[in-house]
Amino acid sequence: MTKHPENEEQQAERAYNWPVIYGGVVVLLVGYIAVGFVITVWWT
Amino acid sequence: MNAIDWVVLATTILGIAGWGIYRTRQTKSGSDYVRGSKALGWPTIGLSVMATQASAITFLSVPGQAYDDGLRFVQFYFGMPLAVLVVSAVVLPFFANQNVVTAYEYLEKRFDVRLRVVGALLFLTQRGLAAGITIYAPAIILSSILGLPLTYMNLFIGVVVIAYTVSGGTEAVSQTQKQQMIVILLGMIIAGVIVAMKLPADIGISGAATLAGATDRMIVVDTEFDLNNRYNLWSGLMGGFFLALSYFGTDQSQVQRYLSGKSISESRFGLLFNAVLKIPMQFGILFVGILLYAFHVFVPAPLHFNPTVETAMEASEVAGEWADLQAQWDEASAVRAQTAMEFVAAENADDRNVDYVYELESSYAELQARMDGIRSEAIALIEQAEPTLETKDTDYVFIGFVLNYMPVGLVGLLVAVILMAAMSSTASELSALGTTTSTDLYQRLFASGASERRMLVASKGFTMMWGVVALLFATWASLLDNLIEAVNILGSIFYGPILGMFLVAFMMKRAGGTATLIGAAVGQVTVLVLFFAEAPLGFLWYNVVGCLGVLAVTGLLVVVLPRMRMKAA
Repeated sequence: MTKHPENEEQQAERAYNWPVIYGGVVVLLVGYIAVGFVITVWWT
Repeated sequence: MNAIDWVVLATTILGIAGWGIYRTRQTKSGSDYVRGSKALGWPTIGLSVMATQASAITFLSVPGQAYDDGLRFVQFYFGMPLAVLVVSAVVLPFFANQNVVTAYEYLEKRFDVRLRVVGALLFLTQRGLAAGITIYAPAIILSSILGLPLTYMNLFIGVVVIAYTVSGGTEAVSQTQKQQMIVILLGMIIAGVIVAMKLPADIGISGAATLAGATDRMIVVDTEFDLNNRYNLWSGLMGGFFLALSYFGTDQSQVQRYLSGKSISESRFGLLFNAVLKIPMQFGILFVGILLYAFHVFVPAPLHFNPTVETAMEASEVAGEWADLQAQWDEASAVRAQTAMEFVAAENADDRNVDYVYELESSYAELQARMDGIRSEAIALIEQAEPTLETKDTDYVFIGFVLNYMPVGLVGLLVAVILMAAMSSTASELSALGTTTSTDLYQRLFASGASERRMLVASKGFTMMWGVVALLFATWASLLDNLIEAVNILGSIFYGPILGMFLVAFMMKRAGGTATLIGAAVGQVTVLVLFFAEAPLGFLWYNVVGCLGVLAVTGLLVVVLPRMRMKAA
């Protein structure tokens, strides 16, 4: 089976490591919730 | 507001709107009008998505919400970053690869024209009604506090937004939103800094947090699971996830924003910009409310923040009782201010005495409870004497501070911030309503061979038509109080099943159009039954139930009845 050549946009897409970027956003969300916990515990 | 404020207000709003019209004066074809230039970078997309979601009520109500109830409202947004990730990774490529203009066009490519029309009609019903409220909700507050007729406020917001949205289409919407959002964010930062500066020197930001903490206003994360409580970690993560997934994945007013990106990567970064910044932004706006709470510990708050209500009560039959409550309120305020000073000083003392701090904290909390009691009596008195008046006053806390305590010039800027927030959300809604009507209904069903020129005229016409509908709705909304609540509920009732239809489209390759339609109908009926049976379920959970209902029924039909499957192409 021949593979279709990638168009420019698909090549541009591959320039980014999406799983790492998405993972970063998830880590950040966990961080936000953790900061929320700390504020809650500190001031109550 | 004085003359300088009016000049600042008019220059900011009309300047940005005029610039949007000027920038897009070359739009000459129907497809450019509804698709935009397809040349937008991620910062414009990111700000445009943010401006669409944040309505005027976000900036008016959220500080008041924190003033009254603390920071826990932020949990409502915890599900959003995850939903935006799913939209960016999964949903966006489906739309972009099929080169669709509207989300509902995708439903036809995946199933058939019936699903497209149903999706489009559900969106038009829900958004068409809601667009009027986006104008009306801030207009009623601003007209009350500025002492201007409501109709003038509605007309000002409505006419300006219709002018640039109809003139330049989706491109004008994105371009103006970028400018508007920058001014809005700057304005809110300035407002926060000014409230902090107006706190007594011995108090400061940490003292404000100490006072708010003593009255449970610093609870950000609540881990207790309660289906009926809309602000806890679980309803925020689960309900918030489904709500945001539906909003960002299927609501044309958002889909149209991120589909105007130069490439999929730019659209993705624009969405992720929101995933990263939305929670800190909401937290920041809520924290302005915490600072306002501390500010009003030392600068006495009115018994009721809505000046219209105060005036009406002072002139009512129960004016004597009202004055009595007012006197009790002022007295309690003075004692609370004194105790607050002592409490914060004891907390920050070098030789901090834990028992003494605890004692002062308890008396401070008791004083707050006493003031809450006086407030409840005042609300009861309003309900008894003037049943037509709105008793909720949290929406007036922030704008009251802006008008009474901000420096000249900045008052105009902050009122412009509120008006632009209303305009930027309304612009996306009108543009999406016009686009959906012209492409999914008019062009698809009645004018498939229409020329670019004709489509441009039609799209402008439909956008204008929705603008007028929204404006008329805003004008009459004050006569139909229950209708507003109904429209808000309508939104959360429709959202789950619409999301379910799209998830079937993305995930169940074998599902056919009929199975999905039946699934959507069953999901919708389930939500309606739960709603009318007054099931003890927070409204965020309707989105979850509706969506999962569609998936379950459609899945079952496809497994059990082979003729419900998609025919092989």
